[in-house]
Amino acid sequence: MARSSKRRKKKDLPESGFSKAKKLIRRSGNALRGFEAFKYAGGPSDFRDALPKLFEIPAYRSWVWPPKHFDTEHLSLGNGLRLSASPEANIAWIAETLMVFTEELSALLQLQEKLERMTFNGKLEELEQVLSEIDRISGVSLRTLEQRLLALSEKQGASRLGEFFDERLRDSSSLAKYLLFWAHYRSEPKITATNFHRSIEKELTENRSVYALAKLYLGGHFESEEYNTIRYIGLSDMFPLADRFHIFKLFLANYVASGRSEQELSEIAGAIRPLVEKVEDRQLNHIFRACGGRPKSSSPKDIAAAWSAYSKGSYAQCLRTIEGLAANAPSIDSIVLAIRAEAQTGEVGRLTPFLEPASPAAQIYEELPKILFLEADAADAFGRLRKLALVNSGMRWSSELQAELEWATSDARIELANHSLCYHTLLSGAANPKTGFILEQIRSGAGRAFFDDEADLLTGRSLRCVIDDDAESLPKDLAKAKNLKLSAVCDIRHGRPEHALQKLDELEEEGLGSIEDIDLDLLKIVALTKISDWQRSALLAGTLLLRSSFAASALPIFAILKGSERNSESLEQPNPEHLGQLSVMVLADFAAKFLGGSQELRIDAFEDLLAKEGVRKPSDLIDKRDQFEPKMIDYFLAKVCSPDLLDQCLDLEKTEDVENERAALIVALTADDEAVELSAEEVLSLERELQTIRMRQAVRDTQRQLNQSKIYVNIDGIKNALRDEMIENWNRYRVIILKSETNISDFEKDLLDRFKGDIFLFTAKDKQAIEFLGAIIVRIANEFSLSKEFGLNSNLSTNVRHGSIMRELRGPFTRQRVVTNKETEESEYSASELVAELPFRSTAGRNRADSIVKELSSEIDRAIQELNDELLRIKSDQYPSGLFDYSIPDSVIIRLHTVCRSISDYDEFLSTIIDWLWARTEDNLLSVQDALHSRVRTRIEASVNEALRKADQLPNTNARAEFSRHLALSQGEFKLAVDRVVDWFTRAKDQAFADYMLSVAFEAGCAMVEPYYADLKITNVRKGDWAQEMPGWTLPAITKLFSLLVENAAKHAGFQSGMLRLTASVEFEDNQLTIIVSNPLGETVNLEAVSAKAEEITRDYRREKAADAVALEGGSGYAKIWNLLEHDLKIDHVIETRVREGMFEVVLMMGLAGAVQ
Amino acid sequence: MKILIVEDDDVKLEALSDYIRARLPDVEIQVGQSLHSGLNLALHETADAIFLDMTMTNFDRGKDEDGGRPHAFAGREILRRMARKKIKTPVVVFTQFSRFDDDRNSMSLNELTQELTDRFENFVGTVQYQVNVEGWKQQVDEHLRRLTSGEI
Repeated sequence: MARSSKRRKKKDLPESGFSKAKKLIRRSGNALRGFEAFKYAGGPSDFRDALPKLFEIPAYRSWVWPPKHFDTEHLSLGNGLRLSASPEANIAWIAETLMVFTEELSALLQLQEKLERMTFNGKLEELEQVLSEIDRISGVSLRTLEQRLLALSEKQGASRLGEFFDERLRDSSSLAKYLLFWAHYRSEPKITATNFHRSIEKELTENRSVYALAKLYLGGHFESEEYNTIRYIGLSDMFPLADRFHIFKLFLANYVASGRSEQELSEIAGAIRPLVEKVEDRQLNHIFRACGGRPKSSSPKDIAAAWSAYSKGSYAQCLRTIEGLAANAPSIDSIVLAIRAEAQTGEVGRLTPFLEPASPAAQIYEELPKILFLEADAADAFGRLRKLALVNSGMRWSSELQAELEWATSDARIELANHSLCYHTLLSGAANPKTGFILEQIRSGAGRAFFDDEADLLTGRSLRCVIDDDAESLPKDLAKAKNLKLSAVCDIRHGRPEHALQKLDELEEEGLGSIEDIDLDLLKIVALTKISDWQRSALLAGTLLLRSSFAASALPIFAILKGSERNSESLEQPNPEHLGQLSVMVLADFAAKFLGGSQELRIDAFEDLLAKEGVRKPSDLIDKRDQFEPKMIDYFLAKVCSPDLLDQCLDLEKTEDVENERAALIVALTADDEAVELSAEEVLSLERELQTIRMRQAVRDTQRQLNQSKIYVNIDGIKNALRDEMIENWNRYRVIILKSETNISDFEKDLLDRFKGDIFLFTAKDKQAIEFLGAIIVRIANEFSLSKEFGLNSNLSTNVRHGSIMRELRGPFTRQRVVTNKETEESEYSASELVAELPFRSTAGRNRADSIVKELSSEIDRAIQELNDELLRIKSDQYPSGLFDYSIPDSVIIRLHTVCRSISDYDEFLSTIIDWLWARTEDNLLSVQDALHSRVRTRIEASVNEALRKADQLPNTNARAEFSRHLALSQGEFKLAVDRVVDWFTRAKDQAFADYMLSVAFEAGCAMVEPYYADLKITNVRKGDWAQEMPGWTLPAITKLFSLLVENAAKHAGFQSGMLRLTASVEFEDNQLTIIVSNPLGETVNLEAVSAKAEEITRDYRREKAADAVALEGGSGYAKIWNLLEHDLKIDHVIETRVREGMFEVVLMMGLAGAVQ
Repeated sequence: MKILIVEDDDVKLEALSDYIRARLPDVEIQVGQSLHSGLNLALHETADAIFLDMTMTNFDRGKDEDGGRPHAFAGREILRRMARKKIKTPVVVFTQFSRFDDDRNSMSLNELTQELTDRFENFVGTVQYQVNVEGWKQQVDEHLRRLTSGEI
């Protein structure tokens, strides 16, 4: 009985955790599987019972605490164990595995504190000693390696990193290497915190557990519940003790900061309580508090006196206390407090003597005021401090800094704190009174408990009153202004914004000092938004925003805009009063440009502002500037009125109007620097913008003029070239005429006398004169049309056929990417990049679309080819379809003879012939214009319509829609291109080109080429005296010269897409102009071949050869350069092409004597 | 009857205006060829109906004017600004495209039609023009019938 009863009793007893563990290990037949089964099945009490006992059994110990984790020379990771069933069990498991090392952890924490101080103060002399000590206790860890790595890369850059990894990482664990690689990467100077987090997100999200670990370990956190899961916490099993503890806290803080239920928090508190009681850690204590626990206070008390002094308004005393602290161990808390107190006393830099130069502490002391006082470069300072925090993310002071930065953007006294602020506050372990608000938010009562435990803090007690909505109990020794402000905070927090506003107005009258004023403004803005006073809140918010763009991160900009918009929309009749406030406009513009806000609202605010002020365009406000807040109106005119807003002004009807409006605003703002509320840098930037606008307009005017100068014949050149020959011919012609006139009979004389000038007599001698005149006219017409140096054909070749017309007519299709090119004349058209990018669902569909593009390319090229090769030609046996017809019928010669026979002056005679040739040219141009419309346009439009028809037969997908859209857009653009080309075919007017700056010609040359390269962005850097003024008549030739150079670069540099960056320099010296244009060569370019080609160009740049090539299209265009310089500008010159340091360079030296000067 | 056509493509413009004239011989047609000129006419002129292209440049294009910025949703912007001014002239969107994209939005014609229906009470419907298919004419007919009968 007794035995049975005993057995029954034993059976009834709950099984101990240790027994469960042993049973599961035995049953599994494999220790690893057994441990995993126990970890999965057990709960917190099982772990608490079993783990200390298992630790005592060497055979079992190694499964949970691998000996290699304690290797003091190398880092080796374990495999980790399967997860527990619940998050809380997971937490309990890790807490209990750590419990067996509480002594070691305490020792580690002391060393960690030392490390914190050393890294914060930049005193790293004993760094290796401390790290070695940590390694001795817990084995080489990621944490210690990371510190060594940071120190090494600061000293020696990246050169020794490989060696470092080889020395310190024994196993081939890619995870450890990976984490250390990223830890090193984030310290690179160019990596910003935002970019770094984006990079790891992009690289690591495929493996969720590694991503979770890496992101937390490397200074990130998870707001989304998807990743904010404690299940990955088990990964810390794999790491040595120091890392295990650290990673445990990271996961735990992230989990707790994410809005857990009271029950979850209580369970976590229960799981970590034993560890909290044994190990005094400020981070763990904060987490424990947030879960509802009450740890023994571990916060340093020394700063409390400084806080109290500050709250009492005894700023000098506060500073004295902090100086005492800083001499020993500065902290972020003390730095923040010092900055605030210094702002009140006006004594800046009191801590400088105590801070190591270039240390994180010194950097924070220097940068943080910029943020707190909303200085102009606050956003940059914020970025730099975030980077500092990122690089040192393993340090507690880094979290403290992060929390401080978060406070600068979100006021958790009155609004809910974001996840980042909660997370970093927990890990900061700071005794900062603001912590109470965060703890209270995570768990009701936790903040109150925090303030109670820190009751010696006057500030803490005061803030507890705010949480309790008990302003009456605010401590009596609090400064009066502080009392009033906290009372206002209390009102806002507890739904009495009107009361808060009264108090804040009262405080404002007293004036609290700059930093408090900013705080008051921010509080006021929140209170005003809560009573929907959008106008006042917009005005205050706009003012702060103009003080520093960083204020945007702390301002409720979207709430203000939404409220203003709601008021505006609710009206029965349009009324611009709401959105038309200047401050609303400033906020709307900022939101749209920098915060992803609505463009529509920006336009509406603009429209309403103009309506409200009764003006038609912004420049009308220039004379009313004194009616606005000066800084805001100047900001509006300078920054808000950008061209993409001005073009929405209904009073500005074309692009040029927009440019002129913008220019008018800039001229007004820069006319008198003193009178505007803009910085010198801003004024400079506006002046540069004005130069750009003026340049763009000059370039456009130049292009416009040049497009009307394409049909050109160098008449002076012809006259000079033919002078001797023609004077002789003219004299012979005169002699023949004289003979015919002296040999007339009496009868003929009588007839002539009777009819005076009404009749002409044609005699046998006249026939001879007419034949002779015919030969003269043919000679001149040939020179006029075909002279290589001066004739129309050469200019048609240079100005029209040499790529220009092909580019202009093909341009719309190239820009819409619905045509492709061929590698060689014989090969087929290449595949379409547009089609490749579009999401066709089937290969068949994609191939059909590709065929459509190729067919269209072929049709368009054939049409343009025909125009170029057959129509735009001087009519001849070789070009029977040429539209420039200079054949001369006998009737014309007879008619000209009747005119010329009475001319006694050679020049008048020649002008008569040339005038006739021009008249003939005008007829020819009409034929070309007609052909462009009736043949080329019709043919190409038919091809596009056919392409559209075929596109409609593709499977109905988004890809088809997009493809058709590109085709349709190209059609509209093409029509305009034809109109532009038609405009070229008008006789060059005798235009008087104004004198111009050389830079205008260069930019115009670039602009002539750039639109035709859809995927290539051509940029340039100009060096030298580009402001040199040149005589107007040289503008066409010089611009053409530059366009040829730029086109050569675009064609032959080996860049199909991306950016082609040209460098162009000019130098004027001793009557000589030297132009050097160079461009990089792409990777696909064979440098040797290009060098050889460059030498060939230099060698062959002889006049005879160039003259032969000038009327031909294709090739490099150097012959055309020769023609421009030799005959149009008539200047001596030398050209050299060469390849130097991977750049193709053209050097052009021109004597300026005579022609150009 | 006075109809405003806002359309930047000459071919479409000619096809639509010819067709409307054929159906309504006494019609008076006004033309805008960009967001800017279309908006000016829509806000400041009185029309009985508006046919509105969706994708247009900012300004009317010409030999010396490239039109400025392209707007994928120019028609929607005109509708929106009409709504702000409480102008309720019936609007038919007349477009060649079946898909619309800019740097912020991407949507099909159906999605756009739905959005316009939800947002603008004076939006009557959409007609998709195709250069080689005559079906758009029937849709225009139907809208003209509803407009002339006072149904809308």
